Amino acid sequence: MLTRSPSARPRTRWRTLSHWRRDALSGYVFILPQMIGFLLFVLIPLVYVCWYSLHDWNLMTGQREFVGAANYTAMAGSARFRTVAGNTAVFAFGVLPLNIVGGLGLAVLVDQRLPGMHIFRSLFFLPVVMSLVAWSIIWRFLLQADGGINSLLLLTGLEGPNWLRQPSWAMASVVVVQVLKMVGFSMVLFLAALQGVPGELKEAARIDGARPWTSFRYVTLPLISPTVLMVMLLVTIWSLKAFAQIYLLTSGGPGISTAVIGYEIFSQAFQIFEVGYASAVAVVLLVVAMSLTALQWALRRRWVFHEQ
Amino acid sequence: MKTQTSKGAGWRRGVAVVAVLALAAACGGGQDASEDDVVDTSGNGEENGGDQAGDEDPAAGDPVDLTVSVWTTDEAQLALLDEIADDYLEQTPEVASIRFDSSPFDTYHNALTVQLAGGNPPDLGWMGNADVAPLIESGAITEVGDALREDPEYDFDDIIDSTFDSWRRGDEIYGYQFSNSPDGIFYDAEAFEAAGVDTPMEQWEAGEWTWEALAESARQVVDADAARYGLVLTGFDYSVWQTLRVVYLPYGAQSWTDNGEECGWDSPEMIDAMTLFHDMIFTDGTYPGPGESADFAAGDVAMMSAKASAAGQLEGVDFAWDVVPLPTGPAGDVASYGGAGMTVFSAGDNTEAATDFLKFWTNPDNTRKMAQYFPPPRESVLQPDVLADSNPLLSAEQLQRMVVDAVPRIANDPQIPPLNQAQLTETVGPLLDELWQPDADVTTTLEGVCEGIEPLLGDA
Repeated sequence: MLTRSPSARPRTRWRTLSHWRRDALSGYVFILPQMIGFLLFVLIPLVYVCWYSLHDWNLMTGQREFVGAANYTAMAGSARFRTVAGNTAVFAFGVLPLNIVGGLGLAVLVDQRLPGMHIFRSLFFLPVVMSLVAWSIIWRFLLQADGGINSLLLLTGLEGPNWLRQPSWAMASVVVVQVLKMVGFSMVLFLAALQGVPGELKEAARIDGARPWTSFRYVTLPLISPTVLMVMLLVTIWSLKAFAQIYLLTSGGPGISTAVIGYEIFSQAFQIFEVGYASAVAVVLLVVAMSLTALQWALRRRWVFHEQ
Repeated sequence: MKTQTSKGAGWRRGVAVVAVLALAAACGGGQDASEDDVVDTSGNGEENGGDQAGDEDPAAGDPVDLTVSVWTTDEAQLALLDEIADDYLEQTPEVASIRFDSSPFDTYHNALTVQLAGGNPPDLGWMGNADVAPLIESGAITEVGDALREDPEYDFDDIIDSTFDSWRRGDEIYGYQFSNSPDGIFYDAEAFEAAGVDTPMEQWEAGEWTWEALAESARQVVDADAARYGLVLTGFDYSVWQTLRVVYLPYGAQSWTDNGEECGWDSPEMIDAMTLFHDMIFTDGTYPGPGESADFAAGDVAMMSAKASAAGQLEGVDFAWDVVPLPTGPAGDVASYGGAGMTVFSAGDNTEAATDFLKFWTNPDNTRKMAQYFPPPRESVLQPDVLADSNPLLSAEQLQRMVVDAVPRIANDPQIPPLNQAQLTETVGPLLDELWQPDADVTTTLEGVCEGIEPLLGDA
């Protein structure tokens, strides 16, 4: 009869533990390069930015002095920052609904089995793969007072405004340019979600007498709500980070009517050379983005179908 | 015997240690400052105990390498710089090499300030005269006047004194303004002839070349359909407000007072100047509106404000053109200009060698070589026939009236409050944007500019 040493583990459990730990370690090794990159290029710079935000640091003079929360206090009392924050909100919440409605609408349109539909899908997605810089420069020329858009309008007898130079039109123009750039991406995501909706559910609704809009609202929309949540999160974060298109289209003008937080960080750091203050603005942007993301994530239980 | 548990735990502990060390490096790297310490990251902080500038005597130790930051990307200019550097190296064994680091002008100052902040500055570098004040006040650039004056062969007295205005603090000189480019008015002679209007040259010769006369000429040319627009200011594009100096300096206006304590944007002189300009845009329609494009070389515009180097764009145009100085204003004949200088950075490793090279680079012989590209500050070289040798598109007479006669009259906004100069510049721009609307009230807008910048002027 075999006897078992008191110190020996059960054979099956030992193998499982050993195998599991080997798998875990293998996983850590595989993600280690990415984590090192994340540490070096994201986390460490993030910590530095938070540290610099507590300093008054002028790049031109080279003087750096610890001032605690003075940058944040100055920001809170700054009329310019309030304007910039307001512009950011207008930009982000202008882009968001247009992107979702536009992307979903395009997805519904191209979700049809018609010859040549793939061409339209490619055309709508084409702006997404274009360079943002090239896209913005082209639109800057199109939106000039004597540019392509106004020339076309003149053919119809209409006189277009100075799209990028009039405060009342500049932000709207920038929003539209941003939406046109990214709506194809939303379309692709929504298209995949639409094609994942079981056909029998829509068929059952049709048999029960549901109209197309009723079927879409009560059958399709709930089933694609996880995708809607994802698009909302992505578009919100992208909008909050906007810089290149603002820089190239309007440079934050006229005045500061299109200056958003991303552009303000650049302006403070590399035009006014106040790196400490720019870092503080960057920290505020991070907090806002994380807060909005957390809020949207928390609200998912109320309206994302699968979470219920 | 090592167990699986202890191996896994050891691995996790190792990862945790690495992460903590990395975070510690992030928090503790570089210069740490206590709450009461001011850290000088420019590397020249004698007062603050920062790293002192290297000040090696090229006569001692190994030969040194010099780096020079420039913003030209023109191959011919870079070749000339290398030629001058090679001449210097032949006679200076203490210097092993000289390298010119070229960056585009648009990003040059940003890149340079980041280099200075990062403690990795070049030994010498070009600086715009409007950007040098903060560097002088912070000690980021070295005084070079003594080195320039002490050598009789350098002929310091040959240099026009007013060209040192932006680079001087008392008797100390912090740079050599190698390029002095006054603005002038290029005009399409055929457009004026077609409109039956006296040309700017005729008006200038008659002593009637004023800003009001220019505005009237522009109206007449445009009304006669001889050109689409009457005037364009090169480089303005409703964003670089400093270009407006060509208009307001002749009116006796300044952005701020000489002592930097009061705003000059709401002065009567400035209001007059900006009212004339605003009317040209929105009342007369003789200046391209915001977002509208116009090209003098294409024949769109009857007149263009630009520097002498702009003549290079006019090679091969199909109309006759000429150039005259800027119009005068109520303040008389003031030459607006753009100046570029060469400086030695205090945080560089070889300030003495760098100063010696600067002296060589700016001596009479090399100034003569550079004059083909940059209007010089030396009287002996600032001669029309010398400049014309290197400017085939401009005659000696044109260079005489546009450059030679203008350099002694150059003026600029006062160089003050260096610690917030950049902020002043970036604050004025957006506030001035309100002026570029058809229904803008000039006085109200300019008063708004002053309201916006006065808190910054108070820090002077």
